[in-house]
Amino acid sequence: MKQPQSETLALRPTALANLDPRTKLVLTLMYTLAVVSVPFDEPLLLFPLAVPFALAVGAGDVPWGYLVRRLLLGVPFVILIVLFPLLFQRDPVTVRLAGLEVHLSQGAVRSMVVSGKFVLAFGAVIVLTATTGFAKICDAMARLKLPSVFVAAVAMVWRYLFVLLDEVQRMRRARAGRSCARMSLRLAWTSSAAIVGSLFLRALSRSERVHGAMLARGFTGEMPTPLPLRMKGIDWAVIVAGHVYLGGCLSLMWS
Amino acid sequence: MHMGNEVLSPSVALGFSVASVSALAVCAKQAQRKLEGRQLPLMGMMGALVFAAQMVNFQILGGSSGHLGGGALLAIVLGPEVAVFVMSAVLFIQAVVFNDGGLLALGTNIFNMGILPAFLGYGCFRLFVGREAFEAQSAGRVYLGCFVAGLLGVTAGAAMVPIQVGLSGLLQDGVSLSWFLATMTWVHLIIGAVEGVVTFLVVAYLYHARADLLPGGPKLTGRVSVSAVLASLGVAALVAGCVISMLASGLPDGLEYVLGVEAADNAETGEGTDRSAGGRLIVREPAESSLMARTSAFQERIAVLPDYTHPATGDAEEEQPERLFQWDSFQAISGVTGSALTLLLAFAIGRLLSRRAKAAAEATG
Repeated sequence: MKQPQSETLALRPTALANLDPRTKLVLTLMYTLAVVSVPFDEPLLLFPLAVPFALAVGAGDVPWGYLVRRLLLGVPFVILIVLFPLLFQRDPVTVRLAGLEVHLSQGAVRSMVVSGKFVLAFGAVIVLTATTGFAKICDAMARLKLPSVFVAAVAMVWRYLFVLLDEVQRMRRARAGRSCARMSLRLAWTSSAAIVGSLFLRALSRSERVHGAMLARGFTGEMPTPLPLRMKGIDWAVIVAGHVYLGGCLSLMWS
Repeated sequence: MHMGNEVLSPSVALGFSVASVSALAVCAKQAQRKLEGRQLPLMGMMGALVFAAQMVNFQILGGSSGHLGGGALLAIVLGPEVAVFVMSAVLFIQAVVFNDGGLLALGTNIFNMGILPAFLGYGCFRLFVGREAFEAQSAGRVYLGCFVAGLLGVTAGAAMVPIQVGLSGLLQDGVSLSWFLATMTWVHLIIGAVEGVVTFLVVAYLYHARADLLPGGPKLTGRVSVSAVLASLGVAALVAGCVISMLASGLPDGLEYVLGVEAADNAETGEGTDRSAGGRLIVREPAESSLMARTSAFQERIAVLPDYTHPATGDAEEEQPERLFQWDSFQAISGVTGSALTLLLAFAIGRLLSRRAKAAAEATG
């Protein structure tokens, strides 16, 4: 099975891709925190937060079609949260915007804020992966002194994810070929369980082989970080500018 | 049931992150000791396995299908510490690469879908299958252990979601905590029942293939009667029906009462200050505009459960006496009937869809 599109997108030499992954990871986290902190009755506060997002999409040259497709994947998680206030919260409010007065229900305002938060917070992670690549994100986490066992486990899952997905596809195809897709409910369940079970056993013996191979190559218990990462001047500039801007947005919320 | 960023307040998200991270730190140490040197590739493989196992569908009714979550299975076979660790690595990848759940909500999701299913599930399994004398265990006991482990692990995690949203103060006025809680529990009782049965089937397979893997190697025939499976699914559906009947009792429970008081306080302070002066853009307007009145009248007419349109009928709720459960037999019966009807409907839709699919497949040859 091929890797997600974000991995190929991340290989392009865009302005964002050239930044240090640590810079991007830290800023994405801070940005998510700022977006989540926006009060539900202040829709206009989302606009200053949308500016860095648009800048990042531009600098990372993330294709719009890709961005929208990935966002749509997340819609089932928020659809109810968007719909509920729209249906249930009907206190009337007036939104004043540059001399204009618009009558809306409080629920409509909240739905807008929730949708905006969803687009910005999810979009930030999408931009992060589409300009960085997962291996570099793991590298950044390791260098940010996150527990090395966790980082190594995550990197390992990622490394063997597509191998096992291939394996399960082959097993499913084999079953479909032998059963002509007609099975009793009982056989369908027990054979599915057998697929999962033998996948488990294969994964177990594969992990033993891998471990042996790692030991043979001098594995000491610490995962090596092969990429030489260096924070350049531009990284520091982006980090400082980003924090100042996000801090400004947060102080606007809390004033 | 991956939670997004938007349904949590920063403080609740950070609180659960701290809880999850400290639990993870303990689990990491335990897992490292348990697995000695080989832990890294093993955990990687197990995480990849969780992803891959979700590709295998278990057909439920006609066209609909479920899949294995994996938390209970990993906890039973490898121990809860390893399971928590593997599940949190999986959840991290899901959040970052596959956009399942928010980055800030990661700690909460690890708590709901990693820590709770693993430890609660493992505890339930141990309750039915004792620590010693495995050779004497019957298949029925192991089946019950696996079933309850999957069922309770998934359901408890799902039940945490409304509580966390409520703690964040983000429950909308019209949505009561008990309603949200009942809905989440009801849906996830069914999902958890499937998880339980699948967990057992996989454990039974593993016992046949490599009994040495299972701690103590419980004696299993690998065959549990179909009627036992059906009976346990039926009981789960019945319980789900009772939960749905709680949906009809619109009384606030303890937590919601607390939240309600807090919300009222906030509303008062909000009302007191002129928010337009501070550069804020929204003012509460006491008089309803005609457009507003018309839409709210329309919404009242189309509302399925008018009891829950709290803003319009806010007084009614306060007049009722404070009781934790208002749950009579009529509601229970209607709930059970409701869930039976839902199952029938799901079955009918599934049949229809699969027949369509079959016809389409035959037409294309």
